[in-house]
Amino acid sequence: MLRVIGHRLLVSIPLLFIVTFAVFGLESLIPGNAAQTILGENATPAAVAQLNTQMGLNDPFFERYAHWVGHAVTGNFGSSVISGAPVWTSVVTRLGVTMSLLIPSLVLAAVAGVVLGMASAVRGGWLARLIDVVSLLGFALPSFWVGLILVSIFAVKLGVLPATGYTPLGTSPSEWIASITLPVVALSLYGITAIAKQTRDSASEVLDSDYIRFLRANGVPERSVLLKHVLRNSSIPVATSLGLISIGALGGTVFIENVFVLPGLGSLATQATLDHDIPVILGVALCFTLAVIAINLVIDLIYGLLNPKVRVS
Amino acid sequence: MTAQHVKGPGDAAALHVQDLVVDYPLGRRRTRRAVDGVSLTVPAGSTLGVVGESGSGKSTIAKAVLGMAPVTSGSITYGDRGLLGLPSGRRPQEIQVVFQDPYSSLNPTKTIGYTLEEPLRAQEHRTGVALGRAGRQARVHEMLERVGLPASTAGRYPSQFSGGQRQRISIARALMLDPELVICDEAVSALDLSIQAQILNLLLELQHDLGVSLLFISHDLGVVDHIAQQVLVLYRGRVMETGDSAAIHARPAHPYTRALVMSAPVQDPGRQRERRERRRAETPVAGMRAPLGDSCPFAHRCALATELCSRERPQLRTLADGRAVACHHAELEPAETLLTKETR
Repeated sequence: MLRVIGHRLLVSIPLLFIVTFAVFGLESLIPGNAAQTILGENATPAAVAQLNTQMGLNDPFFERYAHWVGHAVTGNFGSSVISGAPVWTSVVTRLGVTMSLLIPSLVLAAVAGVVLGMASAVRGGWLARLIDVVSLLGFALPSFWVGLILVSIFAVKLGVLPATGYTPLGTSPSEWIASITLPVVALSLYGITAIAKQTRDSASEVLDSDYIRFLRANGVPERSVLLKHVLRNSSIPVATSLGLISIGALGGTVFIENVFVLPGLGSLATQATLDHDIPVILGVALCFTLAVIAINLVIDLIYGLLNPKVRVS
Repeated sequence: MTAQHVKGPGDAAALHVQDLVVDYPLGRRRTRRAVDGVSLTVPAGSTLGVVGESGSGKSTIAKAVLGMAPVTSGSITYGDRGLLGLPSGRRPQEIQVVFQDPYSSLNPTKTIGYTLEEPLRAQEHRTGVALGRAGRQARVHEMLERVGLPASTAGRYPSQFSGGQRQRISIARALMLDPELVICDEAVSALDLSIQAQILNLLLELQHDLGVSLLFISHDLGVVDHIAQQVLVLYRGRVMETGDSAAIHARPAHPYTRALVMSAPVQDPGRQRERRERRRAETPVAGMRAPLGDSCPFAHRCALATELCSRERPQLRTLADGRAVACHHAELEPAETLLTKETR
């Protein structure tokens, strides 16, 4: 267990270099620069060039990257070239918002998906067909579009939930819940349907196996058959897909935060990209990469816990 | 262990299946008759083999006895208890089962010990008498030893065992509650020949030591002849021939049984060739499924078939040597069969 974690952390070091280097390189391909953003549309080219030189943005590419890495390894991620706010602080503040969106979404996707999938595998009939149709919609509809529709129904028409904005949990728990409900539903829809389908397929397979027949023939209570045997075995492939869905949902927060105007990492990344604010972009990229590594690690540990075959080898 | 009374040979009951009909739903209001009026008896302490090709309904009979098939009519009794319509918690634990697929019959995420304890836990749940953890584990070790596996097996997972070992584990699981009847549904079909022999010998040994009766389902008449005293040959859900296993294997009376006997390979290539030709002569259209109606189900594949066979379904009738055959022409000797075929 500890060896797995240690191994993962070692592997993640080169990965962080690759990701930040790629982000750095791609950013330099986007037309425009930070000085232009700061000085505005009407600035003279001479003034823009001078500010760029002043901020070190005209230095050679590798020199700039090496400079950033040199500071980053000591824990200094620089500050925004636009606002001057330290990158570390703004990333940490906004990480809280993104996580209060991501974690409830994943919990909702896992719980609702597994419950619907199990119900459909056990009951079959109209419930299974309904889940098939709804899940097709869940796959096909983009989360930001679903978000807009939810806003127009629940915020504009019914007026029961706020359309935009974020209230921190510490300020008011009830308003926090109200502010994240629509974004969480929009973000988790894909996950719910994907996990429901995955659960149903694997649970149907488990239900058809001879060891379940044996248990039923021996009068083992159905509750225990379903919870101890069917759920446990069908959750192995579900754990795998939950990992993929988590990473997808992390990317989905970028859209959702923009739709609902939430001050999270996704909206920070969008704004920083528009502003050519390289230190902030790198800070967000670093944070997302660490999150993906962490999610993968957690999923692998869960997988090992669920599947004795992995543990043995 | 105190909760279980010690069984004497007189306690064991016989399994009776009477006029069993099973229809599987095929979607909207359509059904397929998998078992069509089958009657059989497994006397206490003995073995009945059920033979037939795939789709003959043999596994459906096992499922019906275990309460897992949609029985249309007929009766299944064990001793003086009717088994049809019993909720799964009230089924007699004296009847246990070993399935065909050694890979799907053990839960891959549970240790062997947990899997073997499961019937005991279900029994505790049912009767309210607790064996306790130590009592269950002692029983697990005892049964593992009985089937020739070390006690350390209990702490390991199914993926660490071969097909033959898993089948031993399945047998141990079936024995956990001191069964009187074990249904073996193609229990050796998925195994290599040498492993098949080991498992068959294990079953014979267990039967000798514990006095269990076996309902042994197989597509291989040779295997059934090795283990069963009585045999029942099924074709398309109907009984074709039933009686003493050795006698039927040596002198099959029904053309279908004859085809089954002929289909098993023999060691001598010359004899094998001769048998294959005879088989071809006797069963002209293999694999075809003509509509049943009132005809003999085997008529379309049978060299002996006459106009009578397509008009009237033959009933089981008892021959001079005690076996029962459902064939209008069962008295014709195999040699005459060939002659008839050639002169016609």
